[in-house]
Amino acid sequence: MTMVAQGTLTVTNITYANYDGNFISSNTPKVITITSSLFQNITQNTTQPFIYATGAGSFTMATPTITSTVFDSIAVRHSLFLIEQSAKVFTLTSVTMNNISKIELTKKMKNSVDLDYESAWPGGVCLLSRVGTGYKITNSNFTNIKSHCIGLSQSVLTMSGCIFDNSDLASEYTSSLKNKSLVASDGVTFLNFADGTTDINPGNSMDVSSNTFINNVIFPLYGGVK
Amino acid sequence: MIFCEAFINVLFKAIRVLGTFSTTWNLKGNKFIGLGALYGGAIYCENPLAVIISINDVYAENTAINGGAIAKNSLGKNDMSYDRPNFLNSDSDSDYSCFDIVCPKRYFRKQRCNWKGRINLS
Repeated sequence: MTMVAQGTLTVTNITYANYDGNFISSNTPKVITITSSLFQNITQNTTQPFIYATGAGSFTMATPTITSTVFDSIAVRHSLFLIEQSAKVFTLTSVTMNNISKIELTKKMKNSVDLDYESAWPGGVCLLSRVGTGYKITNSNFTNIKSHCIGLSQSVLTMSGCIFDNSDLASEYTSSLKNKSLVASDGVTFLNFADGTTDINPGNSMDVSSNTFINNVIFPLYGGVK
Repeated sequence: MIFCEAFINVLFKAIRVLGTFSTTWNLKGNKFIGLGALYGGAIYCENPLAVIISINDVYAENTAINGGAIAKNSLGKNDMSYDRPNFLNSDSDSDYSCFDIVCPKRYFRKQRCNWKGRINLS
């Protein structure tokens, strides 16, 4: 099942589990509001992210918002969320993301879209944005994130009261290092900022205050965007 | 030395800034703990050209080896200001505590730092 929304999309109190496919496709819903929902045990084995909003005219009615919602044990090829070219800020409040990982792709598995992601986007398995967009994140938790967590290019971030914690992955990380030759680019980061400009529509000032970043000692990322 | 050889070849960190960037960035009241990076466990700036980063009331503990809490490479021209950072054991075994050695000294304006290790600015 693929849900395509052309107008308003409101999701409340749903449980979305054990499913392989898109939740929202790239058809640019004008309003996205997700509240008190659970997304769990999902494998997003397509080149599209779980929620993808792009193109001119998107988000012209209201700011997209996700509130009090849990994303748990989700594997994606590139990113859970992707927004671009909207001149709007995607707002997440009291959101929990746990055990978010990338699907390991061999060279044979990758298609042209995968390769485009790798060349054009910074890594960000949880949230990704590009070209004049931004995220406002408040009081949210990101735990057990197995790749770059948030990736932004020509985008801004306003974030406070959030916790990034990969402590539970420490032992798994240690064992994964055995017999591996690693290079600097193998490392991952919670916040991964690529190019930015002064003419970003949501503004050119970022405020990242009162957050906690703990134990990002996880195994190297694999597949998809680096 | 608490990090194995393979470990120190990897860049794990909290925040990484890459490429051209022209943004004013306020980092206040953040905590960075146990990030185990090679450089800049809390913040690593790679070739940023015009980032202005204000770091106030930051606490960083056991974050990295070189430039334990915050680091940048020699190509960047970003400007950073610090007010009351508290970097505890953010440098495990090197001469550099809070900044990468290759960072030009003029780019930093230290204010009321609570340094817990040695500082070696170029």
